Amino acid sequence: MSKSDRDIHAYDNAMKRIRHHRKFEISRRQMLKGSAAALGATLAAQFVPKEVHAEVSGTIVHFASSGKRLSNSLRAVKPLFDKVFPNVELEVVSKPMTEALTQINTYMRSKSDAFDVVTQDHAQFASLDAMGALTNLDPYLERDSAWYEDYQGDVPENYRHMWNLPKGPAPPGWVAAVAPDGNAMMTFYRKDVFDKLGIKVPTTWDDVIEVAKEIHDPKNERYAYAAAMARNFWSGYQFYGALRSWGGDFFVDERNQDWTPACSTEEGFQSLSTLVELQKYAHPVTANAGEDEVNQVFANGTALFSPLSWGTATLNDPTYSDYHEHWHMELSPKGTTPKSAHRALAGGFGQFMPTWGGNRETAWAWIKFLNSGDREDLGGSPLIADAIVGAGGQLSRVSTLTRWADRKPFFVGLMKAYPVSVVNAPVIPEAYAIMGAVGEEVADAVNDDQSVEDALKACDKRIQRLMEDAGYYS
Amino acid sequence: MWGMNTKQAINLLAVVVVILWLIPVIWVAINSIKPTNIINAPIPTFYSFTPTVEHYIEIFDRFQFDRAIFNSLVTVGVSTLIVMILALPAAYAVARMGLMRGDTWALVILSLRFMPGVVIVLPYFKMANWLGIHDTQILLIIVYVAFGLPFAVWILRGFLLDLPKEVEEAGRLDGLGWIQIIFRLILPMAAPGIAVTTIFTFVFSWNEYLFALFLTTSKATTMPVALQKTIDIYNVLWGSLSAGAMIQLLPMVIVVFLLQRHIARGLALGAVK
Amino acid sequence: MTVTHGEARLSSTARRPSRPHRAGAVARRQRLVAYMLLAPAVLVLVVLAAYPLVFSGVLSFKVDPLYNPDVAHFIGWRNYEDLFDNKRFWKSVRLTLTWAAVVVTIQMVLGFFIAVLLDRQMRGAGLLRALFIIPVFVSPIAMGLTWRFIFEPVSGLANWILNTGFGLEKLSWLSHKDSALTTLMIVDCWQWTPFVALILLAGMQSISPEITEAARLDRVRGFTYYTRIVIPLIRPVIMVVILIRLVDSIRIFDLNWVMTEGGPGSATLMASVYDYTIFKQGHLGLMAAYGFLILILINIIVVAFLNSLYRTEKAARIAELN
Repeated sequence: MSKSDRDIHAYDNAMKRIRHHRKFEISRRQMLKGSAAALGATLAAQFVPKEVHAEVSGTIVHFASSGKRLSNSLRAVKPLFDKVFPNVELEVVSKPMTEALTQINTYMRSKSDAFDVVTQDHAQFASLDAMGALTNLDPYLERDSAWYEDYQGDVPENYRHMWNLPKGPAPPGWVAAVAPDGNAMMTFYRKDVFDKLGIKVPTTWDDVIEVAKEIHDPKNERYAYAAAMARNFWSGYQFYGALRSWGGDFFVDERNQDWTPACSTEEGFQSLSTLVELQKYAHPVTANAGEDEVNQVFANGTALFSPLSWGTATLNDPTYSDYHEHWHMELSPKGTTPKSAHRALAGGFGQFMPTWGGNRETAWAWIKFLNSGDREDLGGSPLIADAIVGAGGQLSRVSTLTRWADRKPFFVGLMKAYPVSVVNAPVIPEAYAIMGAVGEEVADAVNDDQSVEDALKACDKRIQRLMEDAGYYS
Repeated sequence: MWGMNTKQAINLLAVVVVILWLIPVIWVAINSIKPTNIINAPIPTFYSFTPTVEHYIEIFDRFQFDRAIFNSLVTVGVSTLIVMILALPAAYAVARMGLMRGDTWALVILSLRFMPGVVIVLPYFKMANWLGIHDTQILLIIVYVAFGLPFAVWILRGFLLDLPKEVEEAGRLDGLGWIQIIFRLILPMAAPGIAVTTIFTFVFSWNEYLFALFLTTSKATTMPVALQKTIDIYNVLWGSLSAGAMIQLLPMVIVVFLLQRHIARGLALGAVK
Repeated sequence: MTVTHGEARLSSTARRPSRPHRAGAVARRQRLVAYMLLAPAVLVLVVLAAYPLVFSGVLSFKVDPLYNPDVAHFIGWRNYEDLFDNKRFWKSVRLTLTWAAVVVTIQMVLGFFIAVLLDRQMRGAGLLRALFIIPVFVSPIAMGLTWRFIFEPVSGLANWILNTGFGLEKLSWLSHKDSALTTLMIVDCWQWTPFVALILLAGMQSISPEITEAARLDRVRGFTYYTRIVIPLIRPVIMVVILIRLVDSIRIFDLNWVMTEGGPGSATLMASVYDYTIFKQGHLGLMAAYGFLILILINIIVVAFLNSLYRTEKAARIAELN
């Protein structure tokens, strides 16, 4: 039995015990075992650190959005970290996921010194840079070069370069963050339904429409399609995901800094009209759904397919859905023009050290521990990734994804998507503002409040105004 | 109607209306003890499941509800007290003392409530950081006083305008001072109004989300913010959300039970006589 | 205290005319005391309101992206012009005003009837009142999300009751642009009618028993009792409730944000949610400008409302004197 197999067994047994208690017992002590911190404690009990670093000390405050994927993963890793660094006081604080991105911007904008480490979405990093909030990690990485080599070997290139700044014609720049977390926009489908009907997962947008027609069965309340089409960022990402797969982008040439807006193009038209067309086969919630509502209708079995959805471990969670075994993820579709290709939007939350934080060495020790792989000689352990996965996280390291692939169909999808992924927004501070503006126009078009052409023209106009104000054209 | 007289029929109607009105809240209560996969099932059910307390445990364990409850009680309790102390004389002045254009003053007092919260909260965030009181209970208390006060003054003003003026005049002629008039005459007479105002001042701060979100990080976080954390980006933890909502509701119900007897006829004038 | 109503009325009417020369001094002293009583509240508010107002006022003339402080600069009135040119801005104003008019009307009427229903001597009335007020207390976040869940168009509780219970067609509720606003209104009325009802009830309960007794002796009861006696007596309370509900429903945020975020499309994009969206997209200047426009709008409405109130109150007073 190989080492990692043993870990998996140990972890599975721990999880089984937890689930067993969940089902049959209701005493507080046992229930607590189901929580992230308790999961971490269970794993920590098996954890025998190679070295104990009593010399590292101090208090660090780590800010992350609330939720399974982020703050919970951190809380699960903490007991392991505490064993290696007994003199470090680590506090994980969180704010509601729905507001955390803007909250972090608000804090950083006011040069807050409340946090030593912050987890933030990739699309905000250009903005953090503009605020002067990012610390260059290069010196730390050079010092821990063996560790960094291992990290580089395990995390796909486009997921590592996501955190490099500045962008533009001269990559790769300097490193602002490392991330144990990764994500991609993928096609979600109910494998049982597709198998039964003998349908293959569509690879082009034309196929998507065909498949939607075939599996759509509103009389029996089985809707073909669902997607997060809520106005603002969600619908913005739907459009951007489609746009990239047709070979389009928000700008004529971002890399060479040609900032002419390019929504009102053939690619833009194809993308938006496909989304509008798909609305015919949509579960009614689609009109105004966030990802949570989409997953809800996936979980209860009334929607069967989504060409573009942000990856999540939720649907493979047996306590969440009765169809947890049947939800599989594949590469998202591409367009049918020569410029088209499978381009999965890549996402991820990375750890950075705010300029105004303190305790740099301790903070770095924690970031490094959190991002460690399985190699114990480099201060890592398979149990770290297990804690993250167990808490509901998702990883950027391919070795861990592979180890877990047989139990998490979602990870298989991630592994397929990683090599063909592209960053999920233009790497400029204006990214989120653009995504929101475009999303508003898209949502209005999908809900039949304006034509596709008008929506695209409005997108261009608004992007132009944003860029003008920020002085890109002068 | 089934051998009932009109009065009984109306009583029954009142009971039915209240029960129907509460169905959504009952639904939340039921969800708070349902296993998650049953909440997510396509067919809703009111009773066919094995109840669980896991969500209640989770809300304390994962969402730090114990700290949030304490913070909420302190911030909201203290701010409500201050609001009522400041509001009563102000409302009395506006309603009763023949100020020229008393309503203009009342309007000035109310105007802070007119702005959308997000426009007000950013300057407060900046100011708090500058003063170094971000993430403290004092900050939230100040803000809740600022927002509760106009509301309280306005509601109280309405109730004071209702009261017969003769009583105070008599009191004044009997040589009572303003303070005595307010505390010994007005206070007992306006008891229902004061009770209702206290209840609603309390509840507005109790459920306030936006300011609590911006002005706290972890130490002074209140329940609405802790509750919002149960909304994960990819799924809503319905069980925890419902359990949290029930816990958040409980102190309110207690406050109402304590105060509701003041919202009853006769008590006010009985005290004067 | 041994003063009763009757004595009070007697003594005050008896003495007032006898000292006409001192009326001015009394009034002046009274006003002084009034200002002293008012001062703490006004002071607290001025301090707490002045700073954000000045701050936001300056901000509203700037481009100041949250995400990029380097590019901030003054642009004069352009934020305001941009808003006036924006069809979504006008839509949001229209939606907000429609919303306020509809929900306040429904809540006042429904709230009054329910207050009447609860304004009676019966066993358990206290319990009933305490239970009825619960919708105002339940966390709007949790309740908004639960309502969204209840109104889920395929497997939500509401449609399940309609369909399985009554054999009716399922409705689209929040998921269609034509029905979303109405659905929000239903929820808002559910939440706030108890608030209106309870305040009106407290008003009814503070009517002195003598008056109720007199009305009973004069055989004024039922509908006439409420229209002729109760409503005129609790008019100040009614006006305050209308005013507060009016202002708060123009500022509607919680439910709107949690349940629809302004969608589907922009079908429920009311003022505060739109302003918050602008904030989330990082346009601080535009956000402040919109905030000021809402402030002005509410002020206009409230002043108009108060003026009409003044006029009717004056008319009522004159009628009373005659």
